[in-house]
Parts: sequence; structure tokens; C-alpha cells
Amino acid sequence: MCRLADEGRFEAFEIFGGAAFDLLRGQRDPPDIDVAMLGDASSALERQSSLANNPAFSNVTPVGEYWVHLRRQIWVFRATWRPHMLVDVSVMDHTNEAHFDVETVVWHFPELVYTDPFGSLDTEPGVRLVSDIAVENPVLLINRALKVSAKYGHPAQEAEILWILNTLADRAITWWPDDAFHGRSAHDRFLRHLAEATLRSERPAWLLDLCHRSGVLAARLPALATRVTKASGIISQMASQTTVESFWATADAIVRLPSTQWRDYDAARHDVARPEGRT
Amino acid sequence: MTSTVGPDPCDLYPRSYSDTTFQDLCAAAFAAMAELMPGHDLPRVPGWDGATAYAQLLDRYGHLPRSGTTDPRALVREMSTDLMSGTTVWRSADLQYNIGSAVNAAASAMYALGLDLNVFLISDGQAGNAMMAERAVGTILAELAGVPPEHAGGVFTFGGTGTILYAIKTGIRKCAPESVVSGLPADIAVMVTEDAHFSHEAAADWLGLGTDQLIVAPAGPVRTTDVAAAEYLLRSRIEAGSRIATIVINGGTTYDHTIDDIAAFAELRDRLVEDYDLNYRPHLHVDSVIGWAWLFMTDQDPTLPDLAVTDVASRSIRLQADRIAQIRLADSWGVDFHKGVGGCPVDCSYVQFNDRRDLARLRKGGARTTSLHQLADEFSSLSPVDYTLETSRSGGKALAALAALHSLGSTGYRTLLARLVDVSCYFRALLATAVDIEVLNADSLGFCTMLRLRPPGDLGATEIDHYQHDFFAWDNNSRMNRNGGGVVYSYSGSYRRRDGGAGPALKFYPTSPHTTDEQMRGAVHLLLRRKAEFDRATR
Repeated sequence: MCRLADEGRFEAFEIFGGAAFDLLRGQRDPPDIDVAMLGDASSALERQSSLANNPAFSNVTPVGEYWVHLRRQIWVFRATWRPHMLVDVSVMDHTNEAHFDVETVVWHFPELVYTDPFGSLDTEPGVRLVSDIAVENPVLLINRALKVSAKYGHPAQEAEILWILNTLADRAITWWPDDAFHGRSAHDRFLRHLAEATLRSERPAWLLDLCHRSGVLAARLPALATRVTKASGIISQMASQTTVESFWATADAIVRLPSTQWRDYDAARHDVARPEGRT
Repeated sequence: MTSTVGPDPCDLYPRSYSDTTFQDLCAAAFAAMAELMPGHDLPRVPGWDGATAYAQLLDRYGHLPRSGTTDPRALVREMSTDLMSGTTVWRSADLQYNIGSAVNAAASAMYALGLDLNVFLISDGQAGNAMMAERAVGTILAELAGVPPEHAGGVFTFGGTGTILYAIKTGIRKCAPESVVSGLPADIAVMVTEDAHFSHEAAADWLGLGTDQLIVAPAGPVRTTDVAAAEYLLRSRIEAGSRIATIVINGGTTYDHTIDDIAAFAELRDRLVEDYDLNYRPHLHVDSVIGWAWLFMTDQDPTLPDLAVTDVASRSIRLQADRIAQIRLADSWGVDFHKGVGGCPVDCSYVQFNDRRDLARLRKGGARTTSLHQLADEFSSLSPVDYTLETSRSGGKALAALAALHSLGSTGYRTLLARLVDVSCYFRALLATAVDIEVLNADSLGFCTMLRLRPPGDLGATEIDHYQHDFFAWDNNSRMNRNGGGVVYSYSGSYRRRDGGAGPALKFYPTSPHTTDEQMRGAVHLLLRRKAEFDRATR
């Protein structure tokens, strides 16, 4: 933490979520770190520019906008630190509300103390809800649920994960807003998360199967869900892929449509609008 | 020789205005409130047990004591505790009960001063310069509406119903001036709208118009009044021999804040005069007691850059402002300063005539037998009592409204209104993520949200209606009436939906300037939690 502060020239920040959880449990060099710091759009730009000119960091992305609680704005960018560690920086003017217990673990700099309101560090890692998921963007929540499940989920928790995904899928099935961020961008992020979570999971077939049984696939990728229902072996075929590209190439081959548009926002929405698209 | 028992009554009539008994007693009353609500932000003053304590209160206060109190502070404290319990607290961010108003403290202070000095807004002979408060409010409203202030004029009245009474009465005087002597003719008709507030019908009734003399213009699919249908009905009535006294249209309905196409109705009014060669002009009144607030948004930059609101809220505000901007084409319109962002104590309504000469038609001197000699009108240069419905009018309302307008300025009003619209847009966006809730007025441009809960199981329409009622009754009794925490909302038994049907709905009506996104998020979470509890309890 001190090295990051020193090399990034950060005065005050927090490491939160999975990285804080893993680091505080003794894991070294997590592949990515979520960093939060207080500020607004201009301070986000300042930070981004500072990292872009810092030789310790590379591949610094432009500042993007992100909304939590539907419309509370935060500013995000990503940088690579040390040869391979991704640092996701969130600049916000408030404390974010986490939904899963591992996400609530926060490690503070310069105090060098951590907070763990739900005692997650003292229990077996898992997927445990700690706040209401009723009124959030259901697709973004699915993305987070997938990420957490891929990393900490295990079959003993299947019922709970299934319930979470199913509850969110029920909402996601009608979630096609015109809002560019909450609609199209959230869907694009879903595609990325589905592939990355499957690749990252120790039990990729189990995770994909949960997505299918919970209705997540039917809600967002009805064409794929239809094929999974009709033919066996598809889940294991997709789960055996090792790259995001091959994951989607396999899915495209399974769906057997002339183009890859079936997974795009508009096409998926169109499919949902037709009852026969969700058989 | 007479002996005095008890305190000197004159103590209650202080003549000094420094360290007065009034201030002292107000301090006692507020101390009692602070004791009842140490944590400040409660949506209801606690201590209310509903009707169960009414008999006891009546027993305590319903008998005149032989001698007065020796301790007025204690009396005020006790009364504050006993009789304020259960009152809704409009400044509370958790109160989303109805279209009341959080009172602006400057308005409250001026109202209180007007009450203590007992300003009779009758003539300047009695009210002095306080008369100018009424005039100044009228001038400000005229400027907001884009009407030359020297042409406009209006009066404060007791409430929204009062503004409608004025409108209908003025129309009657226009089309049937003989009515002042011979009474209401049978051929007078008044148009109201399908979604009008019930007070329109009530006002017509109070004025002696039966419901047969009301023409009810239907609403179109988005609940604005169907101008073509209204035209058909008005023409039919004129051709049947009626005189159309007043056309009352929507300038912000109670739930959806719907504003009709004012310009189209003004054009219709003029066309009727021309087509039928009428010797009067029907009086066009906009019931804008809620919608007037969007006048603060009309002459500003359309992008509303000074308001921290989302694009959705900004668009909604802009559309609504464009609609209300046409109010200059009407003949009169109403303002409730005691509703929404008005910020004044109830009652505080104002009816504005875009042509102040219309007020002259209401002169009491119109009847041969009327004389105002009791009011010494010959010694007053300004005498609104000549034409007001009420004889005794408190000066407090005009003083309060003027204080509210000056203390906030247009920027203050814009900010408050934008905030209410913005949090309501957010509320509806959050509700869209909840499968158990159906928002009934997602297209509303206002800040009230009507919704229905989806009960578990496969129920018929009547059972779903009953579910709304039963859920509200349960939540109201077990939580809201007891200050059990969280949002306090309300209920309508007959909300008119977009499909034309009517039925029960839950009503979330934020009016406090303190309402935030967090409150609205909390409201949705709480509603869903309560629904789950209710469903478990009644399963």
C-alpha cells in the first residue's frame, strides 16, 4: 500500500473490495486492485494525467464516467502498475455502498487501518449479500455477482447464488433503458464480465450453469439460452475456453446466426420483444 | 365594588413590541415541539393515537373555565403537546403525504406578525402599507407570466377553491351581468375537466350551479384535456341555448401535474365568440394552483445549466414550463402559496386576473342594495373589499407570500422545484428496477408518483385493488401513523390511470426542500421490505 502511495504520489486513498480482502488475508500481488479516492471530475483528470506522466504506470486509460445507485456519478480510469498489476481508480465524492460482504473490506491510507464491517476476513470467503439489491441497475449487479461468484463462490453456496442471480435476472429481462450508460454500456460490460468470470472461475462450467438455471442467460442472451436448453454439452464446451475471444467464438458457433449481432444490445432487446425469441 | 379573581386579562394583550408576551409564548410553544421531536426530522408530531384520545381531549378542552389560566406559558405548552400531536410536519424529508408545503421561516414570521397585529386586508384605511404586499405579489406574478403588471391584478383568498369561486363568479358576471340583481339564470353553463380537483364541482355548487350545468371535458390519453372534445361539448351547449360563463382548465392537476394546452383553449374561447357572435366572452381560467411554480422556469436558458438535475428532469421541467408559459393567454389563474414550493402557511391562495378590469365586475356595488358603509370605504384609497369574496381577510397571507418570494428569489424557487422534480425522476427510475411495483404515471412531468404494488399470486383486478388498500391500511397503522421511521406516503382510492380506468394507488408526494436522492432510495427499499413483510403476514 505504501509503495502504491509512494509511486503513485497518492496522498489519501483506499483499497477496497476483493483486493483489500485478499491482501489482508496475506495474498501477495493480486492481479488487480480497486482504489478509491475522494474527489470530483477535475481531480479525477488531475490524477489520471499525473499517472499518465508517471513512469511507474503504463496504459493509463482516459477518465470515464460511471454511475452507482443509478445516478450517483463517479469517475474511473485504469492503469497498469508494475509489470502486470491493474489498478482501477474510482474518484468519488461519497462512500460507495457495497452489496457483497467481501466488497465491504476497505484498507485506508495513510491511516494504514482497515475496516471490515461484516467480519468477512474472519470467515470462509463466499458470496454473501449485505445490502438490498432491489433497486439498482440489475445488469450491473449481475456483473458484480458474477465477479464475486467466480472468485469466492463454491457449490455449498449454490442456493444463495442462484437466488441472487435469479432475482436479478427477473429484473434484467426488462431492463433495456435508453440511457447509454445503464442500458448499452451495462450490457457490454455484462458480456465482458460473463466471459472474464467464466475464465477466472475455478469451476467455470458450474458458474455458467448457474447463469443458465437462474435465467441470467435467458434475460440478456436469449439466443444463447435457447441453444443451451435445446442441446447438451454446450456449457462444458464454452467453459473449456481459455480466452475471451475463443469464449465468444464458441458462443457464436453454438448460436449459429449469420453474424455476432445476437449478443448486441439492440439485437438482444429485439429478441426479448418477440415472444418466440425466448422459447 | 368588584373584586378580580385570577390573572389580569390585559396581560394577554401586550402593547409593547419588545420582549412581548407573544414572543414568550411562541418560545414556549416551540420548546414543547422541540421536546416532542428532539431528533428534529419526524414526518408527524409524535404522541398521536388516532381517534382513541379525541374524547379525552374534548373533555380537557371542551369546557370553558370560569377563570383564565395563571400561567399562559404552561397553557401554550400543554396545548402544543396535546393538539399538535399527529400533525404532519411538512419540512420533514420523510413526509411525502400530499401537496402541502414546507413553510419558509421568513414567510412564517411575516404571517405571524400579521396575525399578532391583526391586519385586516380590507382597505388601506385598516391595513395601511400591508395593502402593498398584495399588490406587489400581483406585480411579481404578472411579470413571471409575461403580462404587463399594470394590466394585471388579483386578490388573496382562502384556498384553491376560493380561486375557482372567483373564476366562475367572474364568468357569470361577464355573461349574465343581470345575475347580481335577479340571481343565477338557468341557462348558465361552466366547463370543467375530467381530471379537475373536486373543488371545481364544489365551487359550482356553492355558487348555485347544479351539476347539470357543468360541462365535463374528457381527458386524452396523456390526461391533458381533449380540446376537440371540449369544443364539441361547448358548441352543443351554446347551440342548445346556454351561456358559457367560465371554462376552467388544468394548470397542474393534483397527481400528475398535467397542464392543458392553454393556447388552444384561449383560441377556442375567441373562436366561440366569433362563430356565435356572443355578446360576452367566456372567462378562461387556468387552475394553476400547483402548476404556477413552473413559471419560474419559463424565461431562463432552456438547458437549465444552473440546476444540478439530470437530463430527464431537465427535459421534464422544460416541457412543463413551455406549457405554463401560455398562461398569459388566459383570463385568470390561481396560485396556492401553501402548496408545493410555495412555502407559505395555509391558507395562502391568490387569484390573478390578467386584465384587472375583470375584478371590477365583482364590485359589491353592482347590486343596488349593497352599501359598504360599515367599512368606511369612503376614507380608503385602496379598498379590495369592494370586490373580494371574503370581507374579513387576513393580511398575513399577502405578507407571507411576499416574504417567501423575496427571501428565495427566482433562483431559490427554481432550485427547490428542480430538486423535487429531480428526486421524483430518480424515484421513478429506481422503481423501474423493482418488479413488484408498477409506476402509473411514469410520464408525469411533475413530482408526485402514483404506483401500485403487484401482489403475489395470480389475482383478479378487484383483488389487486383490495391489496393496495389493505397494504396501505396495514403500513399506515403499523408504521406511518406511529412515526415508525421512514417515508410517510399516502393513498388515493380512485386514481385515474392512462388507460382511462380508475382505481387505488399509493401516492408519494415529496414537497420538502430537504428531500434527497438518499431519501428516495430509502423509500423504495422500505416499501419493498414492508411489502415482503405484509405478504408474509397475510399469506
